[in-house]
Amino acid sequence: MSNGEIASAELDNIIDPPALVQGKADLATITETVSRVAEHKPPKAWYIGFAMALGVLGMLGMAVLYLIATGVGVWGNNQPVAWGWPIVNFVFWVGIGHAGTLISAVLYLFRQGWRTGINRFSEAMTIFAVICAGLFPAIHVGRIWVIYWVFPIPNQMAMWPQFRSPLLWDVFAVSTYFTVSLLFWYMGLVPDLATLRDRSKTKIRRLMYGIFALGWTGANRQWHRYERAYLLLAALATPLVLSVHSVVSFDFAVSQLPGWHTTIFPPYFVAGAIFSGFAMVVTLAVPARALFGLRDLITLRHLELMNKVIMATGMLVGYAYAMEFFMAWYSGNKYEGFAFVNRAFGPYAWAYWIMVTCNVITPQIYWFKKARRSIPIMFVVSIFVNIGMWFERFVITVTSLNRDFLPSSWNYFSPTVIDWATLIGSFGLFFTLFLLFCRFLPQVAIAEVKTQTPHAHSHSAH
Amino acid sequence: MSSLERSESTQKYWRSLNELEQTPEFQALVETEFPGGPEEEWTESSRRRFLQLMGASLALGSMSSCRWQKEYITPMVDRPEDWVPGKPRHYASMMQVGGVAAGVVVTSYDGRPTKVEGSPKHPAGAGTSTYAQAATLELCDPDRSQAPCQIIDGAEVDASWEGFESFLVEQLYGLRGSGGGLAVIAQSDSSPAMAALRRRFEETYPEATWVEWEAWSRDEEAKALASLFGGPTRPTFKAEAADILLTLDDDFLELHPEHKKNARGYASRRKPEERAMNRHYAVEPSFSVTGVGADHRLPVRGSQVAGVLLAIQAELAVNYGVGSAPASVPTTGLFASGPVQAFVKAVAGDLATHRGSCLVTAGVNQPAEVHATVVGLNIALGNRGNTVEYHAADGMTEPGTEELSALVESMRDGAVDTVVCLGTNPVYDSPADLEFTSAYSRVANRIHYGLYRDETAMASTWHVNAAHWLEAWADGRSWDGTHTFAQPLIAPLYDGRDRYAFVGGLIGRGDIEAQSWIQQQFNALYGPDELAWRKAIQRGFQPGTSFVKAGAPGVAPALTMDSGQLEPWDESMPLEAVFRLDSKVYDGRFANLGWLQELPDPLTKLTWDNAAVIGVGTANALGLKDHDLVEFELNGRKLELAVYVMPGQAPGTVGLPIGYGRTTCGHVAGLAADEIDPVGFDTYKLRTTDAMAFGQGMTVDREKKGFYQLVSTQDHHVIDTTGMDGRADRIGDLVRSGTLEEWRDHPDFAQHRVHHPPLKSTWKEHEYSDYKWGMAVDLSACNGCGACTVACNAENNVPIVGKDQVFKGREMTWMRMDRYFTGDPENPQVVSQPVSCMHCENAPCEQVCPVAATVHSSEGTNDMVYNRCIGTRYCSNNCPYKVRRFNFLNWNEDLQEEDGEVRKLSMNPEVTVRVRGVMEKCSYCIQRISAARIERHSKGERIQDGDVVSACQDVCPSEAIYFGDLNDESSAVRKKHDNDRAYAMLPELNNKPRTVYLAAIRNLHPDLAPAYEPHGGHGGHGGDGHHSDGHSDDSGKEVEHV
Repeated sequence: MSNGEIASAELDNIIDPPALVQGKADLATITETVSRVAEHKPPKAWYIGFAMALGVLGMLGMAVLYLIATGVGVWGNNQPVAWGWPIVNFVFWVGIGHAGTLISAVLYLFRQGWRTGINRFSEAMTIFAVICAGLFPAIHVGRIWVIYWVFPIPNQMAMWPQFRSPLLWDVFAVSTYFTVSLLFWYMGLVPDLATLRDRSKTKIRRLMYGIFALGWTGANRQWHRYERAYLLLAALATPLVLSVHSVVSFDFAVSQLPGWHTTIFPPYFVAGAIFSGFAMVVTLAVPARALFGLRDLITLRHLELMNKVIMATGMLVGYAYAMEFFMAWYSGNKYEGFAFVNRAFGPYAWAYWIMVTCNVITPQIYWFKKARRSIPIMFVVSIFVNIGMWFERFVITVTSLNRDFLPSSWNYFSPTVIDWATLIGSFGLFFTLFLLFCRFLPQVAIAEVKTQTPHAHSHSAH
Repeated sequence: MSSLERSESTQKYWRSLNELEQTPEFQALVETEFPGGPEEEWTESSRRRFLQLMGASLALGSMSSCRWQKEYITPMVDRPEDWVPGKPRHYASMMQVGGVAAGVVVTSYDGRPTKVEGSPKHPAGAGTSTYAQAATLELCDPDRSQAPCQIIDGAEVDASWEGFESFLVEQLYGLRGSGGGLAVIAQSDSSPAMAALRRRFEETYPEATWVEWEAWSRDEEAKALASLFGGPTRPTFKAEAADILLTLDDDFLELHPEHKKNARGYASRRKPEERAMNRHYAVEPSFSVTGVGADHRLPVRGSQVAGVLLAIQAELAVNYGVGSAPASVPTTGLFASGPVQAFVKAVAGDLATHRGSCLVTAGVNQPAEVHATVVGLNIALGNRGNTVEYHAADGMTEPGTEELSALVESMRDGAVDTVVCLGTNPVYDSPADLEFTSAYSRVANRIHYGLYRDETAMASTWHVNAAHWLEAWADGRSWDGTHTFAQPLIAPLYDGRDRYAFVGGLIGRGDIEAQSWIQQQFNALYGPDELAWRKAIQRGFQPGTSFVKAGAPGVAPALTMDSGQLEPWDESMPLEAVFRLDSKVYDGRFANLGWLQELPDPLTKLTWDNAAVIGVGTANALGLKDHDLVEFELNGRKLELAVYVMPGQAPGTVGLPIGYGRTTCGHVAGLAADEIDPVGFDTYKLRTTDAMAFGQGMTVDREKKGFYQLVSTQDHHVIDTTGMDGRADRIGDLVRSGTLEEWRDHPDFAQHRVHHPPLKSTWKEHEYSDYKWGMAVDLSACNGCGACTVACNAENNVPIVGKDQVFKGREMTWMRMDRYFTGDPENPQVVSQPVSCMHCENAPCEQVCPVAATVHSSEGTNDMVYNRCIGTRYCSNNCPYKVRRFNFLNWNEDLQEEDGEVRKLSMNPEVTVRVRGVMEKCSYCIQRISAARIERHSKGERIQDGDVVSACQDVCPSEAIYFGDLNDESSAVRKKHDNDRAYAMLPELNNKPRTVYLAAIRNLHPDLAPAYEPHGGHGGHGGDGHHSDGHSDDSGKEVEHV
């Protein structure tokens, strides 16, 4: 160990006074704490939650079946609001799906040790959020039975997709992101799956965990390969964090519609995505750490750090809102100008001000350390941010469409029962998957978190 | 989910019932089977569902006998000459509404009529009414009566024509020679052959009464002219010769029998570079299509129109020596106000300086005295022979209320024991004070002959079904008297009989058959000449048969004005009810046609409803607003009506369109028996014999009875201030208009309304070396009547969606008519703009489709590939004109069911019927381009200008739409594109739309308009060469304008 490294380790300690793993945190306890969840009967709350999630998922299934049998008209979409809630939900879920990869990949590359407590968790959230997101573009098309035409599959029609369409870029961006996120998550899971396999007491568990552990033995060579691969995947995933939501923003930015046609969208969308993603991690982590006894691994310090990110990105988003208005005014384009005045003062002003309140004003409470570290406050704020970010997408999609160029085609959009059922149902899908994950997989990266124990630090300081 | 279940169960259901004949039990079963279906699908107010129900409930039973169910795809052994399967044939025919025939040309594919167009050669003018456009839908309406029936205790009991004939033998033929107690209430009919038949009828039943009845009639005009000229007389206008027009409560551009000819002539004087522009003054209570075009419009109460006429008469006599001054001239109240006096002075001045080239007309609603005065004024101004001519319309009648009143009286007295309603529906549309229904019920034998089992049919004892005009021979006279003929395009679908055969049956002449009867009468009139007859049928009319000029008129009686109507309206005064003919459903007879119900009203933009239309100031004074359901009272009769606030409706008046609120019509318009609510409100309940046009003393109970959802395709009242500001800010850029002075100064003023930076294309633009299709719309000529919308529906199989779906904003019309108001809400100017796909060269929709379902053709059309579309709807989002229409649900579901067969008949086989989930939009009538291409290219020629006429262009009475090849320098559309008035909508987006608009020009009177200040030069251009400084030859500065 060189002197420099020792100095930096000490510096770390100065900046991060409380340890990232608390309590009686020896390596065995960590393994026990995390694995126990997957090995024992879950608490009653899990069953209740799972039953509810499954019920809501069932509602989604029925809504989707009804949709496919009847047509897109079961939603409130109309002319000119041809994209309604399904697209709002899509962008909302894709946004949430950002935190996981950001926490895993970007923070990994920046050597932010605190990520280890929450990365597994948020990666899982990412995967499930992207699954929810992916559902919407698929079901929102008019003829779902020919949806495969958007993929460049050689076919008897000798027709390719139209590569100039941002929707097609979306298909590629989201599917790439999903694939890489899944791989990344699975990679990280392998050592922990092996741990679970080794602790298994039944044959089925041993077999299932065994298959997915891919014969992991924890050999030095394996660890070496693993670290390399993890680094590579992190490097691969990092640009995707930026690209996927940039491409999603192109769906809007590339079009001609006032309120959509703006170059600020890619960074603005990415900031918003990180914002909402972190908020969702907090929303999930707060109950999960209580429910599964993970308070020592997902510590208040983790949560506080996330709240800081939420505040920062919230202000980025707020800046973007202000800048949109400035540009609309500065451009001198009357249609663009009107689009924004209409957002703030038109028929959907309520949605706009909900968005501003939730996204810009609420996170300001995090200037106070007490608020950053208060579980009830952060839980409420994170929910507010989730709501606010959903409304941001609603504001962008619906208010821009409802009044575009020709006043003759202006119309109001109102959601239907099926719109609601689909939105709520998507949470059913998300939570069903998430609760299954909590039940059967290690919620915290056992192997990684061990590197952050005081024990590990003292090792390095030897 | 439910639709899958339903379609399956429906199929099974029908298979099991197919063998059943149409028994009463079957009817009952059908009627009870459907209303309780899955809730989402069968809500009571979903009109679209009604359409689907239509066939299911009524059509099928008797359809098993129809021959189109047997389909043989075999070549013809003896193919008729000229008959190429799949190739359309065109036949001249005739449609008669309100006793006036209109020449039409019907397109027929393999024996089924699919489209009605105006007859270009007919002397009464080309183009058609919206009613004619919807005729194919009416023909194939499954709600049409499909068999005779008896009505016993309010229930329909199936019967047959044989049964009806034996009834006639028993009950009627005994009366032959006398006819006492027999009465016929017939529709107004101009047919010479029917007149001959009626004479036979009168010979057979000398004591019988034959009454004509039309709910909407030009009887006041007819009365006035008959007394002046000493016989039935009709005026015809030459609007193209009029420099100055004064229309007094007269919608002569839309609701006149000769509206096509009038509109064409009028519009030819609204295109300033072609001919000197006319100046048009309109005085009217309700905003009409004619008022839209007017340069100056004076909204006054219907009863005050006479006063305005008196003031003009006095001004003309006193200051210009035209005619004689009337005895009493209103000078107080409203007539003392500055705007009215200025208007009167301006009109009188213009009329006096354009003697012989001006025109004064009065509308149906105005009393006979006004019409008589107008005749006198036109003659005093020297207009007769120039802009107006009076013709002796021998034999032509305009039914009033007197004959019907007398008949109803004797019915009530029990003096009538047999009444035949010949196509009429008096139970529904007769004046309320006659209380027709109660008198009718006293008649023992009540026979109804008509297309539908309507209100009168159900109040009768016998109903027999009529043949549609597309199924029958007929003749008639057009407004100018030209003898016009109808020939059947298809054998009667439901074994209905034409009216000649029916009346023949009444007199015991079962041998009378329409074709030979009409030919006999033809021979009697023009001599027996088989060739002439055939030519007349082929042409659709007999030339040289128009009415001769009438002689000199007598002196018009002095016009007086009701002195109680002098004051301008204020809150303390009662209201004036103004009944209006509806431009969509006429007097209610077309109420079951979905295309017309869904067509937005030209002014209110309401669909699927009528309403009490009141002005902005009146509404404010009364504290009423849109959607308020309130009770109106007129002469003791009360009716709840929904309020619609309409800018430009005269203060103190309530516009009441008739023809709605049908209770026994069909699954579209309302059918109480099937628990289908009526569409709109039955304003006939307020219309009495002394208030057929307008009625005084109407009051309103301001207490709201509820909220009634009126649905318009353009909501403009429920708009917030943000929206209003935004709208006001941009309308001038979208719909460009200017005054004649402005145009004279800067013919290209419209191109300078929007300046933008130079535009660059992202990629290399297409080149169009072959054909280059484009369209131009002259906003100066367009009056917003909406005929183009219906024509487009008919041509392109555009589905209707129903009130609920229109409310959601899912109407499917490819061609929509945007309407904007400018100026004072009490007297605004209205601008109408037809908008359909612009076929942009840089089409934004094409860029964003992920599957290339909307693509550009080498000729520049933006084509929708329906079977490639997956329905992402991104194209619609990116369309700045929002002209794309999405099949949110399966609008054509009813066609897939077995009973949809009859509806399929009306579909244009050249155009795909779209499934749910795909986008659609205007195709520039690409099927017509293809047809012209095949025709020309097979001869090795290029498509010539005029070969391709789009459906909207074809129907437009004002010739406001031009279509053709922009690469053809001599084409009309190219000239319009090169016109200085031409501008593209939203040019700054660089979409390069292929449809351009020509700015609307108003010819304002200097005393009535804000002073025009010519501005020197104009600002710099964008520098992209979007406008050439050399003004084209078309600018026509040498034309002398008014």
